[in-house]
Amino acid sequence: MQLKPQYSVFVLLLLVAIGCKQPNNHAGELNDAAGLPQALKFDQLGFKVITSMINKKNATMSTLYGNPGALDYSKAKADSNAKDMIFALVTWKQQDDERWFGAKIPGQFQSVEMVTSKTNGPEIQTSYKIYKGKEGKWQNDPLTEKARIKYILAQTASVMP
Amino acid sequence: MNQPFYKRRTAKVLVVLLICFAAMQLFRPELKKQPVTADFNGPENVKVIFKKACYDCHSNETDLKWFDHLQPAYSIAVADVENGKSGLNFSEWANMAPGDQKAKLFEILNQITTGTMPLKSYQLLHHSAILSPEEIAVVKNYAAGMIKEHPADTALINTADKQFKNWKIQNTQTPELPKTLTGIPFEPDYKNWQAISSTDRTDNGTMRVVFGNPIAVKAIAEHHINPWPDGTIIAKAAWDKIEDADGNIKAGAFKQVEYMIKDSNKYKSTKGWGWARFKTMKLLPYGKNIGYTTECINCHRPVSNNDFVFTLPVKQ
Repeated sequence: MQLKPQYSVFVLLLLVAIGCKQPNNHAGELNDAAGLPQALKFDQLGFKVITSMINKKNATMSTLYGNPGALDYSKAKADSNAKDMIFALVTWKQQDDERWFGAKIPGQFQSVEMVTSKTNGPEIQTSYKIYKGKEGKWQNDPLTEKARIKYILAQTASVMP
Repeated sequence: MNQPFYKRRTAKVLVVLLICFAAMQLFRPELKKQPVTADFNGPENVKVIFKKACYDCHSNETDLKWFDHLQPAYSIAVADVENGKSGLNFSEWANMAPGDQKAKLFEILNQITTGTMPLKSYQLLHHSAILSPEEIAVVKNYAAGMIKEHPADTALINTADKQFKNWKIQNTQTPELPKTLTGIPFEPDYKNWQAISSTDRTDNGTMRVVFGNPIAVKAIAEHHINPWPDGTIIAKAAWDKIEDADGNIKAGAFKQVEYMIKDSNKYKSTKGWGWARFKTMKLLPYGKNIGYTTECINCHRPVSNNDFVFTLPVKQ
């Protein structure tokens, strides 16, 4: 069958349209998998970023947040004048960044671990709780608690001029 | 009776057009010939692909097709080549430091995989510029092979330790804020903003936290981020990655902080954004002249449909 000349213009435009189609880069979307559970109301806690870390074995990445006391502690690394401190460590599974080959970004939300340290006279009371998964609830974890508190308190603040 | 008249008019129009076309050919902007001084030094199988698809606009070995020599195509081609070479010139590749070569390679790859480069308008008549999936895989493999992650050496650790100690001393001082050549001052408040994402850059050994000012955070909460509202500021801070023997990575020395500041009027000529980068603890503004923003925009072009923002924001 012979195409009419008018149709060839149409076919050409169609080819151009196909050629112009960009790979989907999720424009305008949010990172839903990595979103923190709304029940946590994390944004209302007013924490600041202390530092961030990556665990290659588990393919996770984390950001450590804290209240002013926690931030001061992580900057100074001295507990002589320890104030009330709250640390929150947020952890995600990593995912490849579809917008940049060579980068990894937060994927599925994993957990929030919270360490609270209160001075009560000469006594320092430190507690630990963890919130796992999107539909989680705050839990204690006596098995790993001690090691996790030690790990979180050992972090130094990222240098931010 | 109508037919000859119509024919005559067509003839007239054609003659006028032909004269215009001929006159246009007299206008010949110069395509400067420059020698190849430091050609791309990667493996041959990668070079073959770059030569075929990119060299016409991104090297001093421009090979124009016969139809590119006809105006107005010629002017477009000359402008494309000049623009292309200012962003990337394979004939001067080896003059870049190895780290810059690697960064450029990943930028090239990301421009290709996202379909940003080669330009669609160019591909239409220059089919050799279209890369096949196999060819893209070759470039990807080469780039992936350059990702080398290993436990940090003492130099990297010492730099981080020294910087941390100095930072604590400097913390109390408030020096005068540096400015970019485009007049954007360093914004120290970014560290008090909410984190909206983080990135692990295996391609350049850095880790980053992306911060959003309150307007950005509100836009995320309301899911109105394409375009971002005026007043949005996105800040991205980068540190060296310090890896231990078990594959645990922490933040090392501070490298830089970058800003995108949305103001669709003020920054109309630069895609609605003000672009800034301050490097090292000295907060040295990036850019030799105000043209540095072209570099920013070109690199962000793969996300032009996302208001030029790479970050996929995380809701808190």
